[in-house]
Amino acid sequence: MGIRGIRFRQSGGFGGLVRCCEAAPEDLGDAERCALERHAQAERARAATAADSGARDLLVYEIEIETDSGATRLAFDETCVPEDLAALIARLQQRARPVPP
Amino acid sequence: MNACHNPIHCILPPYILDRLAESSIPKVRRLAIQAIARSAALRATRTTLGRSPALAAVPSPEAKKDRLVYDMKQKGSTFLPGKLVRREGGPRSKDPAVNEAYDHAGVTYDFYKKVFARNSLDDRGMTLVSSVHVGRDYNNAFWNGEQMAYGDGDGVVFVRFTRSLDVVGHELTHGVVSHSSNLDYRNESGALNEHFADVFGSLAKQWKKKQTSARADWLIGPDIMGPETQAKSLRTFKAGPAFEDDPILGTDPQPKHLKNKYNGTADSGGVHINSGIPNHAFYLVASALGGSAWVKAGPIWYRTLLALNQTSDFAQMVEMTTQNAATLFGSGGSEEKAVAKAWKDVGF
Repeated sequence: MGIRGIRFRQSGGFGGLVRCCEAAPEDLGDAERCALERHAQAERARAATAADSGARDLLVYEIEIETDSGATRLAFDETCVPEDLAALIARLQQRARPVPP
Repeated sequence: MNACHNPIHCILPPYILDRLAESSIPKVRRLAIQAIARSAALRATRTTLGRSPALAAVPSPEAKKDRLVYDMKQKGSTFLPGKLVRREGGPRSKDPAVNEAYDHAGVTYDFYKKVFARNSLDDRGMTLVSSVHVGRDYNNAFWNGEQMAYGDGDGVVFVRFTRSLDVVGHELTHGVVSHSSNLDYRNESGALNEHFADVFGSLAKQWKKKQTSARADWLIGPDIMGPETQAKSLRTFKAGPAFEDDPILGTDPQPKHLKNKYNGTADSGGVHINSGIPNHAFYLVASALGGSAWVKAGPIWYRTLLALNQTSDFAQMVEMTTQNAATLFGSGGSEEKAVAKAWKDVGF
């Protein structure tokens, strides 16, 4: 799976503000690229269910991975960020800018 | 938003564990299966707590006001609640964040007790647990289903979140909602969840300050805004945006009329965005009725909170508040008319 680009969106939190950015494949480290591909593969194989943990006002991070065969969306709240994506998400957070929702 | 498929610690992702569970090495296989089982148990616990918040309640020793404040020492939320630094009746701390969390939780408890005869979040004297200094430069506060958690802000966009009574009241009210209507946290029901949190967080502040509706600022978060933003608050109940073209925050996305309702997927279907519509309706009701908002508008809204259910939407909110205004203050009275007009003014 070749990653053509990713779109990051942060929303939720107490403020409910929406911030976005994009990243090109060359912005990703090899390990990050591999991690994204693995998570995207697992996401496609898994049925989407919405489990409510009871938590409120958590920040939500979404990464849309664009590939030759389409797009896959990963979503985590801030308590669920996988270890192998934590550094990437922190970097994308810094880069993200406010956008209308 | 898709379900998180990792446990809180999120060390090994599931696809790695799945492969390890098929290892030819027995010890590797056994440990992987144990990790998968722990993860499943954690997910089941979180889901159960989401559906049955009563299970998460820590009962206070004598079913009255009981507060515990913990210091996370800037560790991440996986280490909640942290180190206990102040308990109910204990001496004041040298740490202002600890005292703010303690004091504001106390005011919110007193507000619910004296105005609505509600004994804590679960109406059974549930202990109020707060953790301060969560994370480093953490620009957020949240309710995790069992307790409150407050960041210190980065000192640029936000300062510590415990400074604002309306923020503390907001987070605690998420607990009240969990133990009453338990509104689903997405789309319109989620926006109502956020709306009630803003309403009762604001009313706790107005009650403490003994303010009339006319004197109240109707702002959410004015005390947590940092020095580098021009925004005076995060949200406002009044018409218009709380901030516009701010170089750091952008423009307040909240609509104040149904015609501008957000229908996208960000923010769990716009729960913090679309709450602006009922927020503005509440402000209109309170302004029309005059006096202090917790006297008439507050009880109408509180009674409605108790009557709604997990999937209630805006239409049911409109109907229920109008009905409750009639029930509490008489059919055809100025209260019922004010509620009906307010909803009409925001597009219903």
